[in-house]
Amino acid sequence: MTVEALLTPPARGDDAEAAPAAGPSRQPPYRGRVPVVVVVVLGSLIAAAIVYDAVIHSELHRTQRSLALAEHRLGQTRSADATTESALTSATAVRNNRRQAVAQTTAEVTATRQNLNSASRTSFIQSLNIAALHTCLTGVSNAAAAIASVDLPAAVNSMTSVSSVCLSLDGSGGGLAYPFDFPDPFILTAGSQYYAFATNSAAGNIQVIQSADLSHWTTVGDALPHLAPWAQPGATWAPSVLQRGASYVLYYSAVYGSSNEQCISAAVATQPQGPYVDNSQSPIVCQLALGGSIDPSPFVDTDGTPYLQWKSQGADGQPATLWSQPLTPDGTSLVAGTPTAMLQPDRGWQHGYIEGPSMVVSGGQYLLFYSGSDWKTASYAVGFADCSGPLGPCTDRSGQSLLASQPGLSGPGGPAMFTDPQGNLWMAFHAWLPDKVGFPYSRPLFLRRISVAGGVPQVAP
Amino acid sequence: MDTDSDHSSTEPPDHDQRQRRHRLLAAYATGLALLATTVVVGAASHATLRSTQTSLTSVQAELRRATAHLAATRAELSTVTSQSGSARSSLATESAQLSADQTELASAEVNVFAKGVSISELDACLSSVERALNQISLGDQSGAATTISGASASCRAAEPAGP
Repeated sequence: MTVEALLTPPARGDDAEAAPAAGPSRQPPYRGRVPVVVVVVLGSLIAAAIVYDAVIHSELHRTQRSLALAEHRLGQTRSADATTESALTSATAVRNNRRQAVAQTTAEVTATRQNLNSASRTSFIQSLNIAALHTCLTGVSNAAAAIASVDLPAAVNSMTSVSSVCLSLDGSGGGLAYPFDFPDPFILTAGSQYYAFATNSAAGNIQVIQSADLSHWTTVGDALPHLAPWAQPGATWAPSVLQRGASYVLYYSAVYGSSNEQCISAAVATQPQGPYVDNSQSPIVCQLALGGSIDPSPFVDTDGTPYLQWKSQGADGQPATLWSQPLTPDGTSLVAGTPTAMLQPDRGWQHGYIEGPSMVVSGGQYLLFYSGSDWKTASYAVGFADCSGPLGPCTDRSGQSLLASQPGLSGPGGPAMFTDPQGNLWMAFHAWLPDKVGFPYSRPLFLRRISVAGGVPQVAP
Repeated sequence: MDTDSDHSSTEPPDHDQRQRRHRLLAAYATGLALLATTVVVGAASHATLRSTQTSLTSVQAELRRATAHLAATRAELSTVTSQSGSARSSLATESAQLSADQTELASAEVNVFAKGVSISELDACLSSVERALNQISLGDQSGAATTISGASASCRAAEPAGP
């Protein structure tokens, strides 16, 4: 059967009756129902498709609404997140700024507390200093009053009582050992004790102090209560002592009569601290034509021969000169003869002045220590020279001073060499305190260790 | 004649059948076209739906992430705000301490300065008395008197105030 046959509508009754007349053809019995089935099936499919489309559209619409809502919420959330992020950034900046401010303030508090602690310590130390100053001032004032009343023992007691306190005010820097005026010192080692002698000052014509350790000194008093008959009081300078057996000989300079020039004398005692007695009718050294003689210093050579060395001031165009001459065995007078010049000023730092000789032998070499320049100034200093022997001649080969002004002391001079029981070489000297240079300021006592290497001395700090 | 007359008043049978077949074919074609259109539209809608659902899923995932990030940011903001408040409190405490310490330091410095002046005056007085002592020792009474006179101001200034 062809499609056309299927599409052919069914014949009416007369057609069926007429068909035999037309021929022997037969029509199938379902031929008339096929279009209906096709229409029904097609309609059903279309209806199903439409329903499916409607469902899909509905679902799509619902999903699109959900998507729109979700996108809206996402936008809101992102906006809120951005706002919160901005707030967080701002809050973080504020927090960091505050933390930085806290750190800075804490650092300031720490620094302020350190300053406060420092100020408190300073205040405490100041209180101690004020108390010490009051104590020292009281002692010195009492000493001055006692001296004015010609009560020397009271003056000595007063100074002794405040010596350590006054020393603490000036400190121990630079080797400061005794805080009061103690110029042109000399140290004598006798037994287990050290005795220091110095130019006249508050304690008398010849000051003497005593120590067992070179650190703590006790004021003894006046080693020479009475001057020689020819000597004028008030200028007994640069004492030194030589032990001769059981006796001690004190050399010092004093104004000779009415000459206004200094000459050197010798006094004798049986104890190292004195009292020394000088009944001499004339000085043992008196170079009036050379401006007078000062700064006597005994030296005992390696063979036991004693010498006395000193300075002539210089006059009439003659320079200051350091001299040496042998002493008699008892040390009270010079061996007959003439003194030998050891050294004259020839170095720039000396400014034409040398004085205060003190000789030692180190490693077989004679070393002469001395002062140079103007004693009243901060340019005063200590130098040294090599000597051929106890009588010189000596040569200062260094070209510069050995010890000059430095922090803690100004214008050091008046060197006196001595050896402690352990064999250590020391130098005693005086110096002005900084910013207190020139008489009548005090020249306290200093002590420094000396080492000699290769013939060159070095001063310990 | 009747046959001729009927035949002339109605369509011929072949022609009628052809018309009926044409109408039927047209109806079939229309139905198929409608069905095809409906299927195509449905397929397109289904594709759009799947795409939209995919977008929705993506947006919802993004929304969850954004919400989580927002929550974390808000929590961090809360923490930072708390820390900032704590820092402000600490700053106030430290500032107060600093102020107190600075006040105390200023007082201590004034005290140190005053003591420094006293020490300076005492030192000047002591120095003068020592100089006078040296002068007296050398018999220079007039020089000592001059020195003491010059030092009287320092010595008076060094004396503590009192009744």
